[in-house]
Amino acid sequence: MSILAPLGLLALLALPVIIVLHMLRERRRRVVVPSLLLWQQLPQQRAARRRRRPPLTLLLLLHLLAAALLGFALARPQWSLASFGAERHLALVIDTSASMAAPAPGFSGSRLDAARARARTLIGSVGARGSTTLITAGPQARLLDAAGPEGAARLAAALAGLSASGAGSDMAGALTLAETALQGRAGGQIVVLTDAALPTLAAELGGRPVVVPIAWESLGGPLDNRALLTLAARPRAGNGPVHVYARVANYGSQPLRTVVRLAGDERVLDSRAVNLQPDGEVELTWTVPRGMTLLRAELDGEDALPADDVVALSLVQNRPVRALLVAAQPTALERALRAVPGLDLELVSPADYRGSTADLTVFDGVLPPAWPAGGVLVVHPPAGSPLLSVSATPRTPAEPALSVSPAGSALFDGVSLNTVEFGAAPDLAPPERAALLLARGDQPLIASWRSETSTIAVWSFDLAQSNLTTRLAFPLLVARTVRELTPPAPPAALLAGAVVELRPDPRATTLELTAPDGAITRIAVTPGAPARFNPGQPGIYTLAERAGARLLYEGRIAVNAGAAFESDLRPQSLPGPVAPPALSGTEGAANRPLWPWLAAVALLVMLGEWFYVHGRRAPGLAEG
Amino acid sequence: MWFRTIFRRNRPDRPRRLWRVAGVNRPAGPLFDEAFLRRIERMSLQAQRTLRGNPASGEHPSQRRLPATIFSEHRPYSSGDDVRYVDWNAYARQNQVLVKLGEAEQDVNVHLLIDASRSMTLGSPSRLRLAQQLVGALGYLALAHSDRLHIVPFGPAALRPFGPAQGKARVIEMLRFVEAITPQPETRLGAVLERYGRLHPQGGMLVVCTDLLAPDSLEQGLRALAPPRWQTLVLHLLDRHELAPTLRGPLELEDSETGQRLLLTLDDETLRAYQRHVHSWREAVARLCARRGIGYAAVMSDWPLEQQVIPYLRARRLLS
Repeated sequence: MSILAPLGLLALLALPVIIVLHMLRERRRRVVVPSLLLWQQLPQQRAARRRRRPPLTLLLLLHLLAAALLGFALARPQWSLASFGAERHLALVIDTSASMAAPAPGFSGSRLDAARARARTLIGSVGARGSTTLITAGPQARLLDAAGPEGAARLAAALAGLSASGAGSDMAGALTLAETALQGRAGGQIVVLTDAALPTLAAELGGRPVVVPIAWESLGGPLDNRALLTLAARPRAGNGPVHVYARVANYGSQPLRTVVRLAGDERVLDSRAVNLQPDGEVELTWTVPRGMTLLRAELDGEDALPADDVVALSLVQNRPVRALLVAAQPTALERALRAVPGLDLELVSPADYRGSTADLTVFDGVLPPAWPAGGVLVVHPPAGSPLLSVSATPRTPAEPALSVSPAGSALFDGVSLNTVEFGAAPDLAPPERAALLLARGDQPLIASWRSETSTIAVWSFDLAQSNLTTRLAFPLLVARTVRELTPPAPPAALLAGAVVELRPDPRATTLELTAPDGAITRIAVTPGAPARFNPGQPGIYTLAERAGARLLYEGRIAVNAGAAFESDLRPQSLPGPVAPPALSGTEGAANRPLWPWLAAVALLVMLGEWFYVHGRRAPGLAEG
Repeated sequence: MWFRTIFRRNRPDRPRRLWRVAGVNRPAGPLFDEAFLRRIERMSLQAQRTLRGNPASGEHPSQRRLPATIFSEHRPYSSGDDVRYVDWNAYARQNQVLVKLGEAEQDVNVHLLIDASRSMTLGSPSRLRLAQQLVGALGYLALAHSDRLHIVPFGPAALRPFGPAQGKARVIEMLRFVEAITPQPETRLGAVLERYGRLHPQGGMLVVCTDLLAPDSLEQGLRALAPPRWQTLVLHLLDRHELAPTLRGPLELEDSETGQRLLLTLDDETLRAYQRHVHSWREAVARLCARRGIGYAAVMSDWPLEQQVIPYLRARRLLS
């Protein structure tokens, strides 16, 4: 039973008022006597004494009953089918963010352990006709499992597999999942088990309509914590030194002193003592020599949440590219390719070309019998190849204005083509799936598309007939084309729990991700589609791209747990128990209003009171 | 609203009555039958000799001595006396003209006052009904014995009277009048008696049928009806429920005449006090009547008229 308007219970104050009124004005049986002359001088003391006690009459009981019923009706009580052993469906939303790994107050374990224990209790409380839905509120909300009492063991196993990882709690998404799971079910309730370390909860849930009752249970307590929030470097590659920036925060009420150690490729570079004020932050900078691939900073000592005391950063900006140039007379194109950082170029004549296993294959004036796997750049393709339809006669359109399509904006961003003369070029007929990047009038000049395991770009013009090679735009255009045709380097660092899309080598069939704890996750690569990666644990992940058994690339990804919205372990105020507004139809059947019944009974009582009062005054009752 | 019953005004709307209302608006049959009248015809009202009556008719003894054939004593003849009553034999013996005097019979004024107040209507049988029967019976005796009959119902004041009437020819009219008496809202017994005594200085035989439940002073009225001109009898009509109520608990008593209310919680102690009070009240009335030379007789309303009331009145020397 629940009460929607508790203030209505104030109407029960009418009960003592009614008793007082009955005491003051005791209703007496009225009797007509011939005269009062004989009665007026009788002693009245006993009558006065009686007035001090409430007269226990049927009329008083009827009045009290009617007032009590109306008072309860004003409070708008509701009764739930669950109160009578009917269906009860529970959706447990468990916060699995990294802060749940902190110790729980009054519990020998982490906050997540306390949430597990509480969840097991709640699962056991669901009746035989009920069900439980497990939902985790990590950086992404996930529906773990749903089962009735017969699946309690399965739910327990799912609970045991939970781990506190990832920065942030998608509480809004988790509640949406829970509401969806409970939709159309009577007696549904959402119970949120969290440590309340959710600084952005109010903003996330602000104005969110409530359709299912929500009970918030806080498992956290006030805990001080310190964290390494940021580690950044500039530049990440190049020949000069690398400037490193770090930010340390103290989420506590006491000042503290700690040591920050910086290591490069597992070699300690510096140790620096810092003083942190309560709720304060300290920014640190270093200059480290170039050539390192991985930086790691850590705080000395221990605190409530060790995961955010370490932060790492990958300094690898570009992945190495093995390129093969197939050209009869390599000229300016060779020079431009060799200028691309990280590119290892091999030259081969068209006659010697037997296929390519390089990451990028460049054809200048020739076309292979079949597209090689990986990136392919074709410059000035000849006519007559079945791979590509090119006109035999070059021409210059009557209207030679250049036009860059939106797909080519990234390629030509900041590149001036005003003085570039492309000369006569054959008409190119790229496949329908190709994206036209640059056109001159009605004549395509640059197009790009994907073909199974190849990423292909075609420059239709002849570099020898063009003055492009003499312009500053040429090496830039070549470098950007290489970047577009080859996969990018993995991100330098990720926030634990964040979902990233990796663009693997087009030849890759499998991605292997080795977590810091050694667990390997294999992701099948769909050609042309990015691979989604969601690292839960903080630490260094190893990424391996494979084409069958062949290793195409291996790199490292740094995943960090420190974040301003996650490392502050102090509990925030949670919303109170929230009940949905009165609903109609199927959804409203969960809670049924009781006040109409109370009002009806009160009406019947009042009718009975009316008959009682007026029936007593009937003339037939006169006695002889 | 339902709670208004708590604040309900005390209206005199169909309250519960301690005594049933009878004989007011619904016919209760004739006061008595013809056989009863024949049986009581041999009785007569026993009027005192001191009353002033009319010697022309009537059967009641008088204090006056008149020249009469029935000898009682002599007195000297005086001019104007009827010579037929001269006792010539005494004149022969004593040589003095003497006139024979004899006892004179007279008729008397019979005044029957009936309390028609609302309090008389309560009870079963009602006191008003018994009063009507008594007045009818006494009035019949008065008419049958050539007395001058006055029947006066009264409430707060005397109502239209019946009479003076004389002779049995007026019996039917008298009975109809008595039966037609309607209850009055209240009564002023003392004032009515006092005024009635002043309006009838000749006096006579006066019977008051009343419950004596009047707020004004009875003594004031009785003072105007004192002997010797008046031979007054107060018939105090009582109801058993009035003497020994069966009520209990918290009550709201309502005066049948004034509508006045009295909150009272009746228990054994209060009822005993009430009964003591009623007893002392009756004693006081009886003492008052005795002090004024007025007869007082308490009559219970449930007494049968012929079997109990008439013999009781004969014992009280109202009837002979």
